[in-house]
Amino acid sequence: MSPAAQVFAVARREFDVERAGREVTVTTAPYIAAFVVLAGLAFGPAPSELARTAAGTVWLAVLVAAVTVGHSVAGVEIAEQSWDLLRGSVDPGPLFVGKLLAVWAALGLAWLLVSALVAVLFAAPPPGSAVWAGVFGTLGLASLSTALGVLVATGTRRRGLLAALILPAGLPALLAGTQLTTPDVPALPWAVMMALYAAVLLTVSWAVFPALLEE
Amino acid sequence: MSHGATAVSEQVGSDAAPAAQAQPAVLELSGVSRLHAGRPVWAPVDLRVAAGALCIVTGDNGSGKTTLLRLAAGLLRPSTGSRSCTGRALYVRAGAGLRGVQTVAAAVAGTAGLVGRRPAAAAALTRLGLDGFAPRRVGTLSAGERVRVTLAAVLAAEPSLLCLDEPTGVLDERGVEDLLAVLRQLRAAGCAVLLATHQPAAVLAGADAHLHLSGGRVGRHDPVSA
Repeated sequence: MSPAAQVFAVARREFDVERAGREVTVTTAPYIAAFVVLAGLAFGPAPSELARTAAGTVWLAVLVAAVTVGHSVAGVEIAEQSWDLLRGSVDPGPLFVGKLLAVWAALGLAWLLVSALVAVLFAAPPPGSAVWAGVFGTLGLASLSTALGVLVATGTRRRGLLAALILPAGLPALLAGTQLTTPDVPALPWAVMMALYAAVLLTVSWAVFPALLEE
Repeated sequence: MSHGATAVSEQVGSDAAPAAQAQPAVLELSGVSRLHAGRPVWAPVDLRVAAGALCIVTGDNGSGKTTLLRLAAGLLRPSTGSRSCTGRALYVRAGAGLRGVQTVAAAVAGTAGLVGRRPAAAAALTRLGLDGFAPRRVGTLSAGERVRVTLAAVLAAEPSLLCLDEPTGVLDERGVEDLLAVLRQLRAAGCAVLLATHQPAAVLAGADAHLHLSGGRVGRHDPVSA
């Protein structure tokens, strides 16, 4: 079985499980929706203040979503004792990419949901450069969530450690994503930074993933 | 070596010893040990398991059965020695291994699909008489039913080595018979099986070898007399 076929099989299994249980959806979507509403109440009601905080609210919510989605990478599998069978069936590389695709899709949808909510509730439609941030920012955060989700779940470490690791490491995505989502900010430097951030995290996560699986 | 442990050299085949040597080895452990808190769990083990062989592993709680099986399956790295395994090795703990939110049909197909054998899933359910379970969610099954369904997924995946950790603990008499029937099918297809259990009497009759772990020692027992 080729690595590409294994990636497809892992990703398909992830989407089948999500379709059956809606685990990520029910743990993430209401959480980030409530986050946006509460942020609106905290920063509003002045329209100028809401517009000024809209971009930051989007990326803070996506960063928080990366923590909740990260728990689904291996934590739930280990709790249900399905992790060992999965690991034995698939090589580390395809396992990483298959899981990454599922996490990326979840964070991409979270970004879309938050962006739509903020555009409506904050009356602050994002500029075109926000799409660049949405693609590469969620890719970088997905790489981080996938690797750290396994790191935290497979050891004797506490679940809370995932947030403590992801939030600081996701800071570049928060900064660059906020700038790219703010109107009238020069996009190119931040877009380059976001792409580099995603490339570095993807490369490092890919490289260390097999070691994270070893016990 | 601490624990006063002694090494064991074991050759496990599905027939008598000379025939076992002729069988291709699925698993070979050479001088393998695993350190836990700086001390070896058991003495270095040399183990050769031939295709289609059944090796029972017994021992008290904490004697290292799970460690040995996870190491054999490639989930743990040996601290010393080397491990080689031809084909794919799967490890199943207490008969669990499928996601609870999925239907039996989807979970078995998804697991078989990981090794490119999704079309074999339905046939595996039929072979084990589990067609009636297909639309049910895995999470709604009893522990015994879950073992049978997980074994269907393993049957469909056709591993070359299956490490079963305590599958009999949640099974009734019929469940054990079903388990043995599945193991016969797997072994007939060339799959070697390492099975750890606290209830060896139920499964020893068809075993090729019996390893007993105790106090850091790995000893060999006569499969039919333990």
